[in-house]
Amino acid sequence: MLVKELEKRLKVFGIIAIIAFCLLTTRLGYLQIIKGEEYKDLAEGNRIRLIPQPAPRGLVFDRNGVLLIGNRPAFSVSVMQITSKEDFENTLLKLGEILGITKEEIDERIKQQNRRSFEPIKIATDVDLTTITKIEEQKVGLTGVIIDTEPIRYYPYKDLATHVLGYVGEINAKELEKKKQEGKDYQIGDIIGKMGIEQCLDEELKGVRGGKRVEVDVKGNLISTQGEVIPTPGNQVKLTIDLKVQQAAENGLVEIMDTISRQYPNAKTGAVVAMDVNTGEILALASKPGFDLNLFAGRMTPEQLNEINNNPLKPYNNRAISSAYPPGSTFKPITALAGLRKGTVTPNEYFYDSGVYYVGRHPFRCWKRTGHGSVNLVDGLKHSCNIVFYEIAMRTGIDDIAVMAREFGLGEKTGIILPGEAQGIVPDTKWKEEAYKKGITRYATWFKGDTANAAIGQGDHLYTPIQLVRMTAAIANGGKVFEPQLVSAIIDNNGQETFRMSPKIVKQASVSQEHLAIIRQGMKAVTSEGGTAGSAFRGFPIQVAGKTGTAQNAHGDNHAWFVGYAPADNPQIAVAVLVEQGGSGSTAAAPVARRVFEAFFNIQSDQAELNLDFNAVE
Amino acid sequence: MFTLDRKFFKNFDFTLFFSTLALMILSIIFVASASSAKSGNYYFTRQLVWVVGAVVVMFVTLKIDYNTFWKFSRLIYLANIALLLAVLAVGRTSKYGGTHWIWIGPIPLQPSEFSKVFTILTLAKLLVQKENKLNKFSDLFPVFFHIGIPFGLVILQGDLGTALVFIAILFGMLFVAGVKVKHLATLVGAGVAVMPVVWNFLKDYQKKRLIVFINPEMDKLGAGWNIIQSKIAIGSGGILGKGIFAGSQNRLEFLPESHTDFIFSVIGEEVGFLGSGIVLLLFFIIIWRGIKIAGRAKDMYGVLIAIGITSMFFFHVFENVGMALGIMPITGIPLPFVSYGGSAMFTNALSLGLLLNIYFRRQKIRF
Repeated sequence: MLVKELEKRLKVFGIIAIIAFCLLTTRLGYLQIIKGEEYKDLAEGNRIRLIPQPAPRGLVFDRNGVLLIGNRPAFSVSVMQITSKEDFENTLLKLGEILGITKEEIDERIKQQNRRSFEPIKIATDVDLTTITKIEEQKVGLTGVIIDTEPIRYYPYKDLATHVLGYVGEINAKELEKKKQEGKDYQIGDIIGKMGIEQCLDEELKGVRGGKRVEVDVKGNLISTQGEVIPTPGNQVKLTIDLKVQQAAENGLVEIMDTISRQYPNAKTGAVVAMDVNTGEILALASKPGFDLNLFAGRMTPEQLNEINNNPLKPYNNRAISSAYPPGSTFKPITALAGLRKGTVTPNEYFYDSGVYYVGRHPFRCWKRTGHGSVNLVDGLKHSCNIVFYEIAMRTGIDDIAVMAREFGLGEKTGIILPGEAQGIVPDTKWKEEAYKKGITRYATWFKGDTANAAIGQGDHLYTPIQLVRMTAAIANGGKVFEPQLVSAIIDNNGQETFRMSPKIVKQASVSQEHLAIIRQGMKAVTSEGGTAGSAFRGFPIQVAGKTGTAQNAHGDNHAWFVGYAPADNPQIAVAVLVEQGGSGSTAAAPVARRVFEAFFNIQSDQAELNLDFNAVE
Repeated sequence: MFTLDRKFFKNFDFTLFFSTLALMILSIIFVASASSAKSGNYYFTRQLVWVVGAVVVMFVTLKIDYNTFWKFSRLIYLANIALLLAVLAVGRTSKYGGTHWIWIGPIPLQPSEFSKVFTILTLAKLLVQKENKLNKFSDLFPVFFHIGIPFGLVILQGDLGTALVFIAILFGMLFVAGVKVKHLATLVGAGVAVMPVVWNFLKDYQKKRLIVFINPEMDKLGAGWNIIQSKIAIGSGGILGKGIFAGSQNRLEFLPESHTDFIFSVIGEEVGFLGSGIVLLLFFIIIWRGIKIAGRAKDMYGVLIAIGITSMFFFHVFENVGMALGIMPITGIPLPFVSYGGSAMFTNALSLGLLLNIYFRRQKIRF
């Protein structure tokens, strides 16, 4: 290029720069010199305040549209410094007296929120009407105090489905930091879900906060509202939970714990999970004890909080998914299926149970000291005869049993959306080697005795109730292992569905339908007369299939299990019941499952008392 | 490092250096004013460190003959792209939804900042190689391809402001490289034509900023709030300002992002027309010197680097100040040397070092 042309173009560049800077300077002069006074007035009188308006959180319904979480209006009290520092301090002192909180607590709140000075600071939420009236009466001396209404979370069924629904609270520094790093729009003072659906669907439920831009005078009185953004309520969530099934599960647990409390005084905790056999939808998910979720929504006293935090029964713990337990005899169907697949047992083969089984020189006993005599596989399941399964396991070997367990989704997280799911353990030879390296077991070698223990669900197995209900459903539905679904649909503010549940099959257990049919026949026998759950289901109009379990517990009484599904020939619902330290599955767990089935099939429970047969101890 | 001999005094651009230094000193003061009410000394101390570091970077850049970069052009280009890809792979997301950061150990880096200089360096070489060969519009395609990759990656990060800077750089460099004006006009036309398509790709917050620019009253609490409050701040500063650390708009935190994007509003409020006029003058000097340096560079490579950097500074200043004054939409790009931020400060120092460098090695005899 010619030097001349270059110089010409640089000159044009320079002229553009001159024009641009003239433009900026002119605009600057216009704002500062010509309009200066006007803006000065605006700035001095900048008593414009932003009053945030929290969005009502989305409503939560059960599968039939019954409201499980709603909102109620409540009064909140905020302060804003408009007057001098001293006047403001006096106001705070006075306000503290009326609200019954100390000045230090108020100062702490103000410090915590670290609001910009034109935004009000919330001092108290869910203030009762009497207190509000008092503040209104003394308004003259309380410059800068703002009373507002805000929606507060409301749980009509109090502690029902505590761990599914979850509670809410003000966002803490750690949560805020995390959300900000994820690029989410959260602020100090926001209400956020801390457990259950409230937590894991927080972004759906929280809505979009709004606010008012208001102008106030020197005394803090509102002169005008200059702009308002109406908050957008959160999306509505429809759960797969069926309220009446959930209630039956929880009431059933409470009822049974009360009934057996004389024999088993430590039976105070437990869990129930009910699942749709054909879709994996969770119909009920209960963990006891829970707590009244409303406590966290409004004003909670420190005593109330301490009571929950220090409860030795650990009410925060979601026993249905976060704790893993040995499954006891509910594992026997897996042992049997492994044997059938490997061909080490046939349905027609008879075993002789004398009450004891020797592995080497070590005696392993059946729970029935006198033995069950001559039994086949179906009888073995019906009576939960240990000897049958010791023998099958010895012939099959632990590793094949473990493979079968994993095919049914045991020892792995089910993928339910609730936070804090435990994984559990499927013990086998490889596991024991690893466990030895980590110092968990005394030996690296897998012994035959280990196989015997594992065969009947004792030893090192650890599974969550939700894993067991999924296994049971898979037995009932032909081997389909589902991902449990808890959310049926999410509906936005325009009534549009933004999410609709679709069943997800995680895997298919490779078992033949003939083999499954044998197991199902055995499980049907369990609930029939003479079976281990026979008395619990006596007179029940729908044929149930199930398996009781009693898991040895080194720290107290045995844990009681029952897993089952119904109707036996056209399965719809599967249930797993766990009563910690409940003694035996037949007495403590099976009756709860009966209550769940009653609710699901709309059967009136004609007997006031549950059928309790303390003699049928497994 | 340098001997302060006659050669140094003759070749060093003191006007450019001291104008920049003045801005950086003002930066420390106003960053402190903008942030101390809420964050104490945090931003002030860090900005002080950045400024000291920036001066060092300037002199280091001055020491290396800019023609060294010619040889490493390919490496620079690859590093540029690698860093931008790293952001997409491991970057952290900001509160507005863009992902601009990567962490080198404990140090947060914003590769899109450095990318601007890297791109200027490599694009300059490409244009020199194509000198006098850019006659048809289609001759420009390799150039578009060259800048298109870093540009696209910056867009993918959601950093619209920096992407616009790339366009400004491209136009400045093409114009001075002698590309026919009608081709540049075609480019503008094409840009206008694809506008509706681009609109659909914008993130919600970006659309909102543009709508609000046209009508601030529409969103008085969100993006519109920023424009309104910024205008009140600057306007109320009047001729002499309210005094440093005494701006009520600033101290009462009516101003959003006051230590970064809206720092000019703080300056306007606290030192008035006089003070902010001086700041504008300092920027004008930098840009004016930039054009002069381009005119006196010893080779076309130097000319194009100088003009790329000048275009970059020019766009940053015009857009940032224009936004504070309410005559440009909000895009969130910082005011060079003044806004808080380490990556931006070092990028600007590197750029200014290059300008000093080109001037230092300018042609001695004019013909």
